[in-house]
Amino acid sequence: MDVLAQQVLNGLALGSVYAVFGVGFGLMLATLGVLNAAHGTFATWGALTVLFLVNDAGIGFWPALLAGVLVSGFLAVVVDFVAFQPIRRRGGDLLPALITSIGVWIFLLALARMVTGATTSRFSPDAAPSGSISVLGLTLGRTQIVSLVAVAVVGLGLYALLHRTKVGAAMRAVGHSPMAASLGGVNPVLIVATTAFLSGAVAGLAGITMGLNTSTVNFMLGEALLLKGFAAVIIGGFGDVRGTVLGGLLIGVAEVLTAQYVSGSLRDAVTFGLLLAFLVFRPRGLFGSATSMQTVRA
Amino acid sequence: MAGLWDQYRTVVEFAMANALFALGSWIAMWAGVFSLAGASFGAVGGFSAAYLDLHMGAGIVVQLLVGAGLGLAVAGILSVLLLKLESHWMAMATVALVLITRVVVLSAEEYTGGSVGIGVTRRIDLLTVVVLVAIVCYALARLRRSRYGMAAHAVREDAAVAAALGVNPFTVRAVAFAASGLVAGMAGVVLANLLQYIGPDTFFITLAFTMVAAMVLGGTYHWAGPIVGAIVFVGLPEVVRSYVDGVDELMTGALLVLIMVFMPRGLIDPRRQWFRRRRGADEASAAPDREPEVAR
Repeated sequence: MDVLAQQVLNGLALGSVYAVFGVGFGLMLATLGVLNAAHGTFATWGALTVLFLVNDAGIGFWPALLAGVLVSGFLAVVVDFVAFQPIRRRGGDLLPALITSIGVWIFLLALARMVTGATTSRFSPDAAPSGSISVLGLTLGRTQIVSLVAVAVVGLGLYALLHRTKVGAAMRAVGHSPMAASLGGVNPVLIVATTAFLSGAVAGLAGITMGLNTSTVNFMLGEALLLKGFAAVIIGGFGDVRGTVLGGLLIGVAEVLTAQYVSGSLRDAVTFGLLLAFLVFRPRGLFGSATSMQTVRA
Repeated sequence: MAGLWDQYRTVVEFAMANALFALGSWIAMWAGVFSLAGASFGAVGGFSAAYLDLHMGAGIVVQLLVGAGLGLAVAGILSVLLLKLESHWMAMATVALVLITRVVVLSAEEYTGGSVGIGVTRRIDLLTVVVLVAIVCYALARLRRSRYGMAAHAVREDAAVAAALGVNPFTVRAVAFAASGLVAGMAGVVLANLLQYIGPDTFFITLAFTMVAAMVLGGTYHWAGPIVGAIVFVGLPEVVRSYVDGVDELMTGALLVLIMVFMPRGLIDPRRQWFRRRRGADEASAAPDREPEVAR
């Protein structure tokens, strides 16, 4: 029983990393209409920024985390401006934007490999949170607390932003139809940049917590996140923050429990099996809230 | 000259293998189905080729026939499951399929070697690959103006109109999807023979991205597009690498973005050639400049 409770807790902590990444990825997909293959590299670059600042420049972990999140956010804005904006201006569909995002992905991944020399390292344990505390007889790592706090802040914050503020309403309006939104007095360029920044910044945060929890930072860090985040977005019902968070947590728990009770090699099978089952049998996601993709063309 | 040929022989071989994969994706795209599942069908072909080679010592012709048949069968079965989805969900379902393929390859250790992978004896020469590409192109060129070809084009441009004209979009798409499985299955056999080693990551997301990028880069409105796209996408980085080291991937990525931004219809665009030949014709200027679109 204790093992089960502990593993569920571990699963939630792992799933919260997927959930945070999924929320950012889903924001890009739902609002900007880009199935962004390069989103994982935003996470990688966020983690790499922290790695350089903490290990090489000796800056404290928390300021470095803030810097990493900002770098990822600005990276997303630049990428959107260079690779997605021209296609959006032509009224392009999902396909050309996917192809340019593949180009960006190849570019940023190769650059990350060059910069790191394809080596694997980790955040200096002296600076980064480490150790664990005991709650109700369960062990909770400090790194796990960081990712659980991150998912709470990002999930609640983004949900409130999208559904309770004017900026959020403008973001959803631009996602639905940029033309109609601009007629309603919204500046689509500014809103698109804001959305891209948020979605990249959230990806960066996910990358940093991933590096923290696995004690591994290399140029491939974001790739696993991309696939799991994609699964979380589809399971949660695309464009639905609550659903994506729950989807990510569900995947995390399912993975950890499968590894514990069935077989470690079946972890991915469970995740991607869930993904395909949802796509085929419940394409509207957990809450059945996903709107038709047709309405969200860029 | 011979030295130069030896240097680029491998490049040409891999470009041709990728051209086959891109042609497979293009066949599905012809009917408006954007699919990345070619990597999965390639895995079916590749691992069946490895099995035939290892256990029966079968030659390349048998391998290709079996790969094509299995690719066709798997794609046919999956089309029933996938084609009822809305087009964007369908595209994402094919991504999911590629992710699951890797899991299947990892767990079916007996046939695929699991995480270690499996070795293949090379039984193919460049001529065979070129002939294979030529056969596929010939078939597509003949089909272009056929009843089916017109129907597929109509379904891609507007499925509702096509349906009103008496074309069943589902059947057209299912046939295109199955045919793309056939070509991708053969491409998998070719790739396995060229690489002489295949593992769980051979037929994964990178290959899937490569084939659609080559297809869109070359142009999705003519069957020559995927071939030109594959040659540029696979060949150019190799040529760059022989002169400057370490920047080939950066260049590939940047090039892909630039071409998509400035030539959204790809390198081969039938409308552009047609326009050039009959410059000033009224019909040309009247043709609406539509973006490549996934039918929905």
